Amino acid sequence: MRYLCYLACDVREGCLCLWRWYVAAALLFLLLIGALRLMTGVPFSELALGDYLVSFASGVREQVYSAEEPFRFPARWAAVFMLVSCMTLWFPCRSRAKMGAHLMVVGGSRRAWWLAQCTWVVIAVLLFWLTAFAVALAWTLVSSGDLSLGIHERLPEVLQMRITGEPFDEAALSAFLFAGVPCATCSLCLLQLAVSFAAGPLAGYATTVSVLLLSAFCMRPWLIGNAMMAARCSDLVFAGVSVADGLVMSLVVLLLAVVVGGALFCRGDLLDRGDLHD
Amino acid sequence: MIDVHDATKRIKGATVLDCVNMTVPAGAIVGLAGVNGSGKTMLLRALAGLIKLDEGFVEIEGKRLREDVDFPPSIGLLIENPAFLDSRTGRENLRIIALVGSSSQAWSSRAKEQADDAAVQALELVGLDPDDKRKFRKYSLGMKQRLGLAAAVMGWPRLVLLDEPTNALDRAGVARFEDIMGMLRERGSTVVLASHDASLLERHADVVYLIESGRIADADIMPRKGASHA
Repeated sequence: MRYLCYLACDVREGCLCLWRWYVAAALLFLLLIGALRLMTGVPFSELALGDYLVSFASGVREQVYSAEEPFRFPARWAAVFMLVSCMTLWFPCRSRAKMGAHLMVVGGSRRAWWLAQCTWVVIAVLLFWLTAFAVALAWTLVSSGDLSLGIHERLPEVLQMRITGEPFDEAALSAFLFAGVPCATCSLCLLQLAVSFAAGPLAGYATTVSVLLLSAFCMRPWLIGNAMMAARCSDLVFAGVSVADGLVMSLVVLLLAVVVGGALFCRGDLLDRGDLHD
Repeated sequence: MIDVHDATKRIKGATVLDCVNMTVPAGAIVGLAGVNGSGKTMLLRALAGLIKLDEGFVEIEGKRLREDVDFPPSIGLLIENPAFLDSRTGRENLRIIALVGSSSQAWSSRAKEQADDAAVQALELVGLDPDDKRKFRKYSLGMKQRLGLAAAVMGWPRLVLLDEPTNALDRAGVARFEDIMGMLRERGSTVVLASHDASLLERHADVVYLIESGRIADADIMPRKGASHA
């Protein structure tokens, strides 16, 4: 019951607090749609919903170090995931330092409050991806594009995806887009939440950025950033992490973040910055 | 009611509470005096369950904090700067606190009505207008302090922790605070009050503990009725 009270308050206040971020996210997705048009040279009417969605989480193919193929940092991909991480960073930290601490005390349960924060993060991430889907869908409808999850033949080349030569499996693409990416994003943001409560918001965000950077440079299944890249999804391209493996790894990280982060939070202190001075 | 036993807390190598022992019977009003950095706020935080002690324990109503319960079962607190939701009015903030603190079904319309009634009563008690539509962010310092006080005494909890409650209050606000202290005594709430204002503590507290460097300085204890230290 306490958990639901905390969650209701967080959802209401968090959504009020985040609406500008969702507008910023929508603008970023529109920008990425425009960039895709410029990069592919394909008219909007020939692009499908799937093209836009894949471009939001395309990433970059595994780096093979050589003089001929310099590393290209996936800036568009990083921008999307750094934005969603930033969105989910501040509200729980501010709440913990302010009204949230008050509610936690009068409500009487640290564990329930922690679980409410975790649930809030998951809801905020899902709303972020819902925003992405809504923007892509709206643009497809406006530009008379195809509403399927088909991928234009120019897209893999432009997005640096090393393809097998066979057409994309739409079922695998759906699993990647609607399960793999949201689940991996939730894991990353929950990991950030756990670190930010244990060591401060900057340490939390630094963890996120580190995971994203390392994932861009190294193709390792345990680096969950790999599960967020279409260019490294082995169900879609030549090599990488399968959607199933990505989901398992994301769930492991998610559970670890919730359990270990919760244990640390329940044992930790709730202090203000000035507490050493009075 | 409250039993503090060998409470010790260290933060980044500094001992902020050093072997504090204190017993407060139910219904007593206890004052904490001391200079800045002496450990008054940290002791209040320990009593509220906000910090985990390195040694010793705090027991409230027979339940050990951080072991049997996370926080005291019926508590109101005003510790340092009152923190509320900036985008809500004072009444809305108090209603949310009352709902979360309520033992009944928070979703029922009856619980919501009760929470609103409690919020209105608490606002009137501290001299704030329940129909004021201003958001918390627009409040003056004094209004924020009054709202913090209202949140602490809303529903007359059994334990009330107040840290510098008269900060930023005008004369009328201080007078209201004095009335509220009287009401808390009448209703049998246990109050721990930290303040720099020695006269305020002397007027209201049964016992005033002088805190120095995280310790209770025995020589400066001014005993009154109803409480004792160990």
